[in-house]
Amino acid sequence: MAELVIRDERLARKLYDIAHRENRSVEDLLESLLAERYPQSSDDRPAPGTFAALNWAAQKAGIGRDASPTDTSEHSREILETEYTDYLKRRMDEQSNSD
Amino acid sequence: MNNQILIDSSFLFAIFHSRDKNHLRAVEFNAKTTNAPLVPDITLPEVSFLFVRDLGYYSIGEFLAGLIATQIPLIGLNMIDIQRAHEIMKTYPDAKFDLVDTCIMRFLNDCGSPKSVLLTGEILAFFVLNIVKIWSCCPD
Repeated sequence: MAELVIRDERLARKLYDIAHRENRSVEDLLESLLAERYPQSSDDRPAPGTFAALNWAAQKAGIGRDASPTDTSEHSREILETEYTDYLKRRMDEQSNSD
Repeated sequence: MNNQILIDSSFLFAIFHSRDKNHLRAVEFNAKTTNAPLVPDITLPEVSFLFVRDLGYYSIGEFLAGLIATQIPLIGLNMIDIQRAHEIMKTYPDAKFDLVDTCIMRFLNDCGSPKSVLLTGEILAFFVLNIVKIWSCCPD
Protein backbone atom coordinates (compact mmCIF):
# COMPACT_ATOMS: atom_id res chain seq x y z
CA MET A 1 0.00 0.00 0.00
CA ALA A 2 1.32 3.45 -0.93
CA GLU A 3 1.88 6.01 1.77
CA LEU A 4 2.60 9.71 1.42
CA VAL A 5 3.97 11.59 4.44
CA ILE A 6 3.48 15.35 4.65
CA ARG A 7 5.91 16.74 7.20
CA ASP A 8 4.66 20.31 7.11
CA GLU A 9 1.99 20.37 9.80
CA ARG A 10 0.44 23.58 8.51
CA LEU A 11 0.04 22.14 4.98
CA ALA A 12 -1.33 18.86 6.33
CA ARG A 13 -3.89 20.75 8.44
CA LYS A 14 -4.86 22.89 5.44
CA LEU A 15 -5.43 19.86 3.21
CA TYR A 16 -7.42 18.13 5.92
CA ASP A 17 -9.59 21.22 6.54
CA ILE A 18 -10.37 21.72 2.85
CA ALA A 19 -11.18 18.02 2.38
CA HIS A 20 -13.37 18.08 5.48
CA ARG A 21 -15.17 21.21 4.31
CA GLU A 22 -15.82 19.61 0.89
CA ASN A 23 -16.88 16.39 2.58
CA ARG A 24 -14.33 14.15 0.90
CA SER A 25 -11.04 12.44 1.62
CA VAL A 26 -7.62 14.09 1.30
CA GLU A 27 -6.83 11.59 -1.49
CA ASP A 28 -9.89 12.74 -3.45
CA LEU A 29 -8.93 16.35 -2.96
CA LEU A 30 -5.36 15.79 -4.18
CA GLU A 31 -6.58 13.80 -7.15
CA SER A 32 -8.97 16.53 -8.30
CA LEU A 33 -6.28 19.21 -7.86
CA LEU A 34 -3.88 17.12 -9.98
CA ALA A 35 -6.55 16.58 -12.65
CA GLU A 36 -7.06 20.33 -12.87
CA ARG A 37 -3.35 21.05 -13.09
CA TYR A 38 -2.49 18.18 -15.47
CA PRO A 39 -5.47 17.30 -17.67
CA GLN A 40 -5.72 13.68 -18.78
CA SER A 41 -5.06 14.52 -22.45
CA SER A 42 -1.46 15.43 -21.76
CA ASP A 43 -0.76 12.28 -19.75
CA ASP A 44 -0.92 9.82 -22.63
CA ARG A 45 0.52 12.10 -25.29
CA PRO A 46 3.83 10.81 -26.66
CA ALA A 47 6.84 13.00 -27.29
CA PRO A 48 6.25 15.31 -30.29
CA GLY A 49 8.03 14.59 -33.55
CA THR A 50 8.18 10.81 -33.04
CA PHE A 51 6.60 7.79 -34.73
CA ALA A 52 4.64 7.28 -31.52
CA ALA A 53 3.20 10.78 -31.96
CA LEU A 54 2.20 9.80 -35.49
CA ASN A 55 0.23 6.81 -34.17
CA TRP A 56 -1.32 8.90 -31.41
CA ALA A 57 -2.41 11.68 -33.77
CA ALA A 58 -3.75 9.26 -36.37
CA GLN A 59 -5.78 7.40 -33.77
CA LYS A 60 -7.12 10.64 -32.32
CA ALA A 61 -8.06 11.93 -35.80
CA GLY A 62 -9.88 8.70 -36.67
CA ILE A 63 -10.06 9.67 -40.35
CA GLY A 64 -12.20 7.33 -42.43
CA ARG A 65 -13.45 5.40 -39.42
CA ASP A 66 -16.92 5.08 -40.97
CA ALA A 67 -15.70 4.70 -44.56
CA SER A 68 -15.42 1.57 -46.66
CA PRO A 69 -12.08 -0.28 -46.68
CA THR A 70 -9.62 0.98 -49.28
CA ASP A 71 -6.32 -0.12 -50.80
CA THR A 72 -5.31 3.36 -51.93
CA SER A 73 -1.86 3.33 -50.29
CA GLU A 74 -0.99 0.19 -52.21
CA HIS A 75 -1.83 1.82 -55.56
CA SER A 76 -0.89 5.38 -54.70
CA ARG A 77 1.88 5.58 -57.31
CA GLU A 78 -0.37 4.72 -60.23
CA ILE A 79 -3.20 6.88 -58.84
CA LEU A 80 -0.86 9.85 -58.53
CA GLU A 81 0.55 9.29 -62.00
CA THR A 82 -2.85 9.25 -63.65
CA GLU A 83 -5.70 10.74 -61.61
CA TYR A 84 -3.65 13.40 -59.84
CA THR A 85 -2.59 15.11 -63.04
CA ASP A 86 -6.20 15.02 -64.32
CA TYR A 87 -7.34 16.56 -61.04
CA LEU A 88 -4.78 19.36 -61.24
CA LYS A 89 -5.65 20.04 -64.87
CA ARG A 90 -9.37 20.15 -64.05
CA ARG A 91 -8.73 22.63 -61.25
CA MET A 92 -6.64 24.81 -63.53
CA ASP A 93 -9.42 24.74 -66.15
CA GLU A 94 -12.03 25.66 -63.53
CA GLN A 95 -9.82 28.47 -62.35
CA SER A 96 -9.31 29.90 -65.85
CA ASN A 97 -13.05 29.59 -66.59
CA SER A 98 -13.95 31.56 -63.51
CA ASP A 99 -11.46 34.37 -64.34
CA MET B 1 21.71 9.53 -32.46
CA ASN B 2 18.85 7.58 -33.99
CA ASN B 3 18.56 7.27 -37.74
CA GLN B 4 16.14 9.61 -39.39
CA ILE B 5 13.48 8.07 -41.60
CA LEU B 6 11.89 9.82 -44.54
CA ILE B 7 8.17 9.20 -44.89
CA ASP B 8 6.64 8.99 -48.34
CA SER B 9 3.08 9.83 -49.43
CA SER B 10 1.65 6.32 -49.31
CA PHE B 11 2.86 5.69 -45.76
CA LEU B 12 1.48 9.00 -44.54
CA PHE B 13 -1.86 8.23 -46.15
CA ALA B 14 -1.93 4.69 -44.73
CA ILE B 15 -1.27 5.84 -41.18
CA PHE B 16 -3.92 8.56 -41.24
CA HIS B 17 -6.65 6.63 -43.08
CA SER B 18 -7.93 4.18 -40.51
CA ARG B 19 -9.61 1.97 -43.13
CA ASP B 20 -6.68 1.72 -45.51
CA LYS B 21 -5.41 -1.78 -46.19
CA ASN B 22 -1.93 -0.95 -44.88
CA HIS B 23 -3.05 1.10 -41.87
CA LEU B 24 -2.36 -1.57 -39.26
CA ARG B 25 1.01 -2.45 -40.78
CA ALA B 26 1.98 1.20 -40.60
CA VAL B 27 0.77 1.46 -36.98
CA GLU B 28 2.78 -1.63 -36.01
CA PHE B 29 5.87 -0.23 -37.70
CA ASN B 30 5.48 3.06 -35.83
CA ALA B 31 5.05 1.29 -32.52
CA LYS B 32 8.32 -0.59 -32.96
CA THR B 33 10.68 2.03 -34.33
CA THR B 34 12.58 4.52 -32.22
CA ASN B 35 14.03 6.39 -35.20
CA ALA B 36 13.08 9.97 -35.92
CA PRO B 37 10.56 10.61 -38.72
CA LEU B 38 10.93 13.32 -41.34
CA VAL B 39 8.29 14.36 -43.88
CA PRO B 40 9.37 15.92 -47.20
CA ASP B 41 6.92 18.77 -47.70
CA ILE B 42 6.48 17.90 -51.38
CA THR B 43 4.53 14.81 -50.35
CA LEU B 44 1.76 16.80 -48.66
CA PRO B 45 -0.13 17.86 -51.83
CA GLU B 46 -0.11 14.22 -52.93
CA VAL B 47 -1.46 12.95 -49.62
CA SER B 48 -4.09 15.70 -49.62
CA PHE B 49 -5.20 14.64 -53.09
CA LEU B 50 -5.51 11.00 -51.98
CA PHE B 51 -7.75 12.08 -49.10
CA VAL B 52 -9.93 14.22 -51.38
CA ARG B 53 -10.23 11.32 -53.76
CA ASP B 54 -11.24 8.78 -51.11
CA LEU B 55 -13.04 10.79 -48.45
CA GLY B 56 -13.86 14.21 -49.86
CA TYR B 57 -12.56 17.71 -49.43
CA TYR B 58 -13.08 18.07 -45.67
CA SER B 59 -10.82 15.12 -44.87
CA ILE B 60 -7.83 17.31 -45.84
CA GLY B 61 -8.54 19.45 -42.79
CA GLU B 62 -8.65 16.40 -40.54
CA PHE B 63 -5.38 15.13 -42.00
CA LEU B 64 -3.64 18.47 -41.57
CA ALA B 65 -4.87 18.83 -37.99
CA GLY B 66 -3.49 15.38 -37.24
CA LEU B 67 -0.17 16.16 -38.87
CA ILE B 68 0.15 19.41 -36.93
CA ALA B 69 -0.47 17.51 -33.69
CA THR B 70 2.49 15.19 -34.40
CA GLN B 71 4.98 18.08 -34.66
CA ILE B 72 7.01 15.95 -37.08
CA PRO B 73 9.65 18.05 -38.84
CA LEU B 74 9.10 18.87 -42.51
CA ILE B 75 11.98 19.18 -44.92
CA GLY B 76 11.73 21.42 -47.94
CA LEU B 77 13.30 21.81 -51.34
CA ASN B 78 15.83 24.32 -52.51
CA MET B 79 17.12 25.05 -56.03
CA ILE B 80 20.03 22.64 -55.60
CA ASP B 81 17.56 19.84 -54.79
CA ILE B 82 15.60 20.61 -57.93
CA GLN B 83 18.79 20.74 -59.99
CA ARG B 84 19.83 17.34 -58.66
CA ALA B 85 16.33 15.97 -59.26
CA HIS B 86 16.56 17.15 -62.84
CA GLU B 87 19.91 15.37 -63.25
CA ILE B 88 18.43 12.12 -61.92
CA MET B 89 15.53 12.40 -64.37
CA LYS B 90 17.95 12.97 -67.26
CA THR B 91 20.21 10.08 -66.19
CA TYR B 92 17.35 7.60 -65.86
CA PRO B 93 14.76 8.69 -68.45
CA ASP B 94 13.27 5.21 -68.82
CA ALA B 95 12.46 5.01 -65.12
CA LYS B 96 10.04 7.96 -65.50
CA PHE B 97 10.68 9.24 -62.00
CA ASP B 98 8.41 12.06 -60.95
CA LEU B 99 9.57 15.12 -59.07
CA VAL B 100 8.65 13.68 -55.68
CA ASP B 101 10.65 10.49 -56.30
CA THR B 102 13.71 12.37 -57.44
CA CYS B 103 13.54 14.86 -54.61
CA ILE B 104 13.35 12.05 -52.06
CA MET B 105 16.44 10.54 -53.66
CA ARG B 106 18.09 13.90 -53.35
CA PHE B 107 17.22 14.07 -49.66
CA LEU B 108 18.66 10.61 -49.15
CA ASN B 109 21.91 11.50 -50.83
CA ASP B 110 22.15 14.70 -48.92
CA CYS B 111 21.48 13.22 -45.49
CA GLY B 112 23.83 10.30 -46.02
CA SER B 113 24.39 7.25 -43.88
CA PRO B 114 23.90 6.72 -40.97
CA LYS B 115 21.78 9.79 -40.44
CA SER B 116 19.09 9.07 -42.96
CA VAL B 117 17.40 6.09 -44.55
CA LEU B 118 14.14 5.69 -46.40
CA LEU B 119 11.43 3.48 -45.06
CA THR B 120 12.45 0.08 -46.37
CA GLY B 121 12.23 -3.55 -45.46
CA GLU B 122 9.51 -6.13 -45.29
CA ILE B 123 7.15 -4.06 -43.18
CA LEU B 124 6.84 -1.54 -45.98
CA ALA B 125 6.70 -3.94 -48.85
CA PHE B 126 3.81 -1.93 -50.24
CA PHE B 127 6.36 0.75 -51.11
CA VAL B 128 8.20 -1.69 -53.34
CA LEU B 129 7.94 0.50 -56.43
CA ASN B 130 9.61 3.44 -54.71
CA ILE B 131 12.19 1.30 -52.99
CA VAL B 132 13.27 -0.32 -56.24
CA LYS B 133 13.55 3.05 -57.92
CA ILE B 134 15.39 4.66 -55.06
CA TRP B 135 17.83 1.89 -54.27
CA SER B 136 18.68 1.40 -57.91
CA CYS B 137 19.82 5.02 -58.05
CA CYS B 138 21.01 5.66 -54.54
CA PRO B 139 22.86 2.68 -53.08
CA ASP B 140 24.07 3.13 -49.52
